[in-house]
Amino acid sequence: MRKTLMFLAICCLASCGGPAKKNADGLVGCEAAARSTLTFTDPARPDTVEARAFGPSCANATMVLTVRNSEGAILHTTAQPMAAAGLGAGPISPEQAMTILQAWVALKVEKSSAAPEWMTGELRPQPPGPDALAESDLIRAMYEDIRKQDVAMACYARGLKSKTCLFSRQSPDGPVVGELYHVHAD
Amino acid sequence: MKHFFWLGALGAAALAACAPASGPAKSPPGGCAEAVARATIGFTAPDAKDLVEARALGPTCESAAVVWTLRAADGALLHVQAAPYVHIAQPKNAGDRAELQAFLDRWVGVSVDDTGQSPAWPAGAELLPEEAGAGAGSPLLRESYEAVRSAKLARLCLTTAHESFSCLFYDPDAKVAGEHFFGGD
Repeated sequence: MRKTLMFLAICCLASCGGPAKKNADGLVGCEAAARSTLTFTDPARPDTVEARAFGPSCANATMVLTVRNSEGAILHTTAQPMAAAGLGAGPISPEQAMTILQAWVALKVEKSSAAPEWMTGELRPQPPGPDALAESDLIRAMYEDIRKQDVAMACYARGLKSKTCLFSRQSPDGPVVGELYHVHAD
Repeated sequence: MKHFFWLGALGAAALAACAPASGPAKSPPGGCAEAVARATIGFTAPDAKDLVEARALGPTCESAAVVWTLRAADGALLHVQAAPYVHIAQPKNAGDRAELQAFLDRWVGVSVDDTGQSPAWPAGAELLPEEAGAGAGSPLLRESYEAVRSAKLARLCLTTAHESFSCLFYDPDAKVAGEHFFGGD
């Protein structure tokens, strides 16, 4: 009986959901997830953030970030190689993979007035640092409009020196979420 | 008897440790989290068996994110793309798993040609010509764009959003995929 219980306990511990596990094809790969909540689009109803990683190894894993409202509808999703997270080339351990995902879901919420100003006549917003470049897919007028409205802004890292910042503003149909700007190394 | 108690406690602790706050997402029966489609293509070389995979992530089809991944045959990740399913696929019935699966099957069905098929970017033109599609652009400078086009490198084009696409090329020297241009349908 003791042996049976010990065996069961060891089996269960060995099967705990870490990043290294068998995938749908029965191959040992990297599969992990991290989650958090975010007060972004509605102070009364927190949004959720989920980061998933999957691939044949953590160094070759795809990471997917998805932000959903309290009803589960997607507000934003993006994907990138886990290798682009800034650890450099080489293997990524399951522990490092989990740390990357946990950092990814910890979006920083601030106000859009903290976004760099986009001066008249310039091609893009002001560089946020000496080795960094800010870019936006919005036209300047819309970017500055959102920045001056001082609406909620949530930013996540894309690598050691890059990040994406989202804005949330109210519309008659509910909150609208979009990308305000990106920062990457110059 | 004490032994049984402690072994039981150990088993319970082990079971509790198997349900961490962070772990693979669970989907309810009939959910879309497990929907996946795969295809092989010769992108890194004509006879390579590179893997294209499209999968859905989410508790329901309506709220699923869909992810397109291209890997070299050795597992090296070449490109990833994600979008909300309802935005990119514009399904008639967003809750229908068969319709989502059909979209994933179509999404992985990319064909490989070469960058010589990409539209020319004439000297002096600020932007790619209209023939590249509405809102067409390239992350490359014109000189690099034309160099890639002249090299006739392996190319594939994939849907990135509703009525938008991106064409990728493979650089065999750097062993990476890059975006040649993007546009609208």
